[in-house]
Amino acid sequence: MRFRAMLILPVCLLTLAACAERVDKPKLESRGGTGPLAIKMKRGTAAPEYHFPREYWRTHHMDLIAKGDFEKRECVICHDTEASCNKCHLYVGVPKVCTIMD
Amino acid sequence: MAGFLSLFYIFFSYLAFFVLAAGTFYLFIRVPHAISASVPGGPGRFKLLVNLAGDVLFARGTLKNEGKLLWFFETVFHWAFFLVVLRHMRYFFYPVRGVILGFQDSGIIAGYVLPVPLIMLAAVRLARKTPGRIVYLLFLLASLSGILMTSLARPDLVDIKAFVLGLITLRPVLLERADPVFLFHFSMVLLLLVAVPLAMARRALNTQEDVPFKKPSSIPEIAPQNPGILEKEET
Ligand code: HEC
Ligand code: HEC
Repeated sequence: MRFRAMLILPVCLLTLAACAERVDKPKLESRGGTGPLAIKMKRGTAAPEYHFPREYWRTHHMDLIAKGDFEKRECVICHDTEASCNKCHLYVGVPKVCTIMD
Repeated sequence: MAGFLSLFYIFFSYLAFFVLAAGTFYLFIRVPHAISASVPGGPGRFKLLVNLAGDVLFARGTLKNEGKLLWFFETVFHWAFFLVVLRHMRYFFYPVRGVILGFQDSGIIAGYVLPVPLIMLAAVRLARKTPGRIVYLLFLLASLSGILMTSLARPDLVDIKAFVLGLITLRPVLLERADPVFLFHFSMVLLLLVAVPLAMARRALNTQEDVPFKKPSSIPEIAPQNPGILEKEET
């Protein structure tokens, strides 16, 4: 019986395939991001120094915010939350950054 | 480098899925049917389903064969793993539904709990040479590398989700960065995809934990009574 139940596993994976939507991943427009999740920045905004190395910033901004080194209200000076932060956050399933600053 | 590794992993992902599908299908049709609802005097389909749920959710096989302590760890493992899998659903779906978001926090906590029962189970089963013991080692390594990624060595989640969604939607894309911790984690998962069904089959045949009721005496001796029957059938 249990052997038969194991067939559930591949079936689930196939169901996943059928349900998943195709979408281009969120990426900075300036780096060739396209589609509904392209990350848009206001033209002419320069990235602050702490965004470099870029790779580190992308993967660790949450830790630095959690540690209190940065505050979300600083970010939204340059970032439109809907046009940038939340494109990524919606994609990977992280809580949205609210426009009402907290 | 990332491109080459991506191709490598794309190939092995589909291979692992193929082996999993073919293997479970093989078991589905080939494993002796002594424990199916068609046995006269056996329990009905519903009861079998309830039994099965009991086996998976409460690890009854372990309770019967390996005692209370291991049963406890096995149950904790099953439930923690369940929550962790729910958390991982956010990597497999776009858009990510509210239900999945609701399980994120419990998934993280469960992720930190997971290695504890796994260490105990792996230790005992490696010592006892239980069939399929390699699975616990793979689980342990997967779980430790997973914890590493939520805490110290965060990978580029966006890149990884794009890779995984590409695999799932049958339109694979390359990784932009080859994150070693992620690739290790992913390798363990691919190995598990193949090893888990195999291990379960071998363990069930060896310990008869799959037989949820006494066979009526009128039924001739077939099937799981006989350890190693799979190997015999294959030759
Ligand atoms: C001075 C303006 C400014 C501030 C303040 C700012 N950013 Fe940015 N950020 C930018 C710009 C400009 C880009 C895009 C860089 C590019 O196009 O190369 C960017 C890009 C990013 C990216 C994407 C990086 C990538 O490579 O994909 C993240 C994530 C990000 N910012 C997070 C934050 C967070 C979190 C804060 C608040 C702590 C913040 N930013 C504050 C200007 C700013
Ligand atoms: C390049 C994609 C990307 C962009 C752009 C981005 N984030 Fe994130 N952010 C992430 C990822 C991925 C995580 C979660 C990582 C995880 O769960 O391990 C995250 C997590 C966070 C968290 C922690 C959330 C939580 O509840 O744990 C905060 C806070 C955050 N981001 C703030 C921001 C702000 C503010 C901006 C815009 C200025 C921004 N992020 C833009 C990718 C991004």
